[in-house]
Amino acid sequence: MTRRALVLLGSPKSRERSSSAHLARRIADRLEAGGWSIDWIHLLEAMASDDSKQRMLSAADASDLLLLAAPLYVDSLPAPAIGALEAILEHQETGGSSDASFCTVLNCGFIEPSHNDTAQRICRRFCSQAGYKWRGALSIGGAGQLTARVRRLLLDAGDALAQGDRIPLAVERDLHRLVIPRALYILGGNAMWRRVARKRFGVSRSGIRACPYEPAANSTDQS
Amino acid sequence: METRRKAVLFDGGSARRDTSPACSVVSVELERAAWTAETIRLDTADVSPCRGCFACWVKTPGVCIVDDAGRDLARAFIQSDLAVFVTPVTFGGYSYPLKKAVDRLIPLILPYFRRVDGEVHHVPRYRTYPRLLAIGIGNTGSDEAEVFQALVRRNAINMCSPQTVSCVVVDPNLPDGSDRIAASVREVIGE
Repeated sequence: MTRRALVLLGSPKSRERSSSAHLARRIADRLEAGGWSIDWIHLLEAMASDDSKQRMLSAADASDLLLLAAPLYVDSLPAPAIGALEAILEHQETGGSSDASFCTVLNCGFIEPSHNDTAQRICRRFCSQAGYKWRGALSIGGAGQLTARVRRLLLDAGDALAQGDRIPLAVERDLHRLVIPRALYILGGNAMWRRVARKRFGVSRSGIRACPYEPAANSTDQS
Repeated sequence: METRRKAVLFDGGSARRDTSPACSVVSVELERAAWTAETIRLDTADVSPCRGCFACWVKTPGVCIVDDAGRDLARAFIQSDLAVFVTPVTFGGYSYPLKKAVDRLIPLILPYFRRVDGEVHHVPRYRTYPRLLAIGIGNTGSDEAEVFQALVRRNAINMCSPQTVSCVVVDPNLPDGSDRIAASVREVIGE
């Protein structure tokens, strides 16, 4: 019988524009190569109505593996992912299927993958409370850049999951290495933000630093 | 005349997981110390989830492009001397209503990076930021409380909080719970 994996996409962006989706795609490709079928649920959409939430819960019930792919938002999962996990837990506690396995691939905008650690602990607590089998945690820094090493490690993770195994601990550990030095990331990142603001929106360096909610500046509040 | 110091409470509870008793304990303690406190009930507020579009950093700097109550939350946060998060502990983290609010606070920092204790973090946008108090209602006997406190510590770095206190209590209606919340309030305001 074909095994089924469900990708829970925690990024509010579309599958085409989301780094989380690109990372999950690498794992999903290996699962498909191993004979699995893959479904995707966009959690922002799933949380938008009772009907879409119910579809997410039915899809979770029908899956052998749940893969949560999300960016880091303020040291944790984005709100729609938290809401979805709350809904899945409530469903599990009232008769949902608890046979599935669960794993994560999280990425953050900082260079250090360790920024994801607290969010991964939150995911692991969800997994335990929901009664799923833990299959590992992948943490990626540098805004989810797909370097050759990251790509290879994701494929290794996907191959292990396709066999029904846990993500190898060596893969989890290797992903914790920085993809570029901190100083270079800070320099390049800051230049990138200035360039995007100026070229796409005509916002100057000083404009980026606006303080619209400074008490003395209330009269110029844009809202 | 001395200006009363200002606190804003983000109540992350819901009809099913009511956290208003904990908010009441915080408000009473702040009033006793001559602070003004505003409580915002988040589950009924019109707050959309953050879209992750970064417009608040590069297009309309400092202001979220989504025109809803999320903007008011960011303004209330940065114009306070103390921000208080009250939440049912959810997998060691914040509830959905509170997390929606917290995600909408990113206009308050700059997109730029800097090093803090050797780690990369964002640069503050404002000169001053509120102190942070986080009250979790949950199980104190598991590692849930530890995860919660780790999350608050991380938030304090990224929200540039000058002083941060967190505590997890099982039941704010019991004397032990309310006493611990009150003590946390006194600690964060420096009494």
